[in-house]
Amino acid sequence: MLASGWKRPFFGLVATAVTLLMVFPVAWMVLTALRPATGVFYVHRGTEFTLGNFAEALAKPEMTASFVNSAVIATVATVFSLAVTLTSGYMLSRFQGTTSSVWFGLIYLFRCIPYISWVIPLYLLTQWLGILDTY
Amino acid sequence: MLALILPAFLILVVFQIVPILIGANASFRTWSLFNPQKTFVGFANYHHILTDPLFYGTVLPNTFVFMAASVTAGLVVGLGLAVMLNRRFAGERIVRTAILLPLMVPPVVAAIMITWMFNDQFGIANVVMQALGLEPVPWLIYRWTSMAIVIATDVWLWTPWFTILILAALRTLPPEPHEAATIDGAGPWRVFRYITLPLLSPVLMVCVVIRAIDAFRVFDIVWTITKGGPARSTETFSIYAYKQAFVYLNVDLGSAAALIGAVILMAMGALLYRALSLVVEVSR
Repeated sequence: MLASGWKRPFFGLVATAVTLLMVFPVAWMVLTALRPATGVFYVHRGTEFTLGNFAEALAKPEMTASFVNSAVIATVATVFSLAVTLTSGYMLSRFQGTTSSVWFGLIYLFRCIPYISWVIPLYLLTQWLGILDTY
Repeated sequence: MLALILPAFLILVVFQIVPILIGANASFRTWSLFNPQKTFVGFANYHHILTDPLFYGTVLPNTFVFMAASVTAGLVVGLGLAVMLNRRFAGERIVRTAILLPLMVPPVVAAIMITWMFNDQFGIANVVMQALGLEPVPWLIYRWTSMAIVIATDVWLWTPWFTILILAALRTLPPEPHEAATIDGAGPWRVFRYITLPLLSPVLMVCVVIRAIDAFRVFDIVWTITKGGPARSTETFSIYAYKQAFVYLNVDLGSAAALIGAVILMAMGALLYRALSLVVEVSR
């Protein structure tokens, strides 16, 4: 299904524009990361590039710590939620009727509650349990 | 059957139902973080939030504008891109990879980058404006330019998601109705409007439901780009509830605001779900 006549260059133009639009912010981020401290404010001017920013960032202990944190959270959260929801998913796929529709409705309902509604109670809860800020 | 949902149900109770009840409890009392008196005051906190001109005059409109604009733009652009990608052309792979790029950028990182790009003195956006002979715009000083930037960031982040889902649906559509319509003399636009769109409508509806719910409770990109400013004029409902609780330390008002939002969102979720089942039913 190839477009014909005048449509082809037009299509190419749109495709290029979309590609640029999607890539630009990321490309700009990479470019900014490669500039020395003096070049960050005028990224479009000058040609000095350096990998020093990466070396500096990786040398910071809190940087490595936050990567470890992300990895731990991602792994634990995935494993736990899979372990907990596996059987419930099986149940929803195999059974129909009141129980399963009520269950699904409950899940959907609680998914609709904005996470900000949980931040405050969880803060109070952890405060009450005395585990606030103990990681 | 019940044993199967037991683990998930327990987690749901402990981490979702109990906290909501705790929050509800706080919202009916005077409870500030530095002075938790916990006197029962009934609906006074709800009354305070609902009569706050900032809440009904700025926060709710912002939230709905953000939701409507970001979902509509994401859907339209995503649909367009999906139709475009659903054919063979030179450089197809490059375009497809480029479109998937935003999905791999964490929202907060994207938001930081966008904030820098729209910086009034050093941002590339103003450099381009000046190169074109236009006046530089202090983007994050005005309410609606800030709002537009936040919405654009969200659209940029989520359009790929729409594109992938719609493209996957396009690939599974049966070719026969399209062939029949073409043989009957329908042009490309009519085929798209009367064959493709109706066949796609269940998928489109699912996308809209999921994204609408997510967009209503947006927090991260608004917080990173504007922090609700300038002068609290781009606060969405999540930012408002967060600020009440953790900036002004009124846990009671924050909880009340969060629960009002939850009620609005649940009502909207129910409506959307009804609409979804209607669409799915009709398309069967």
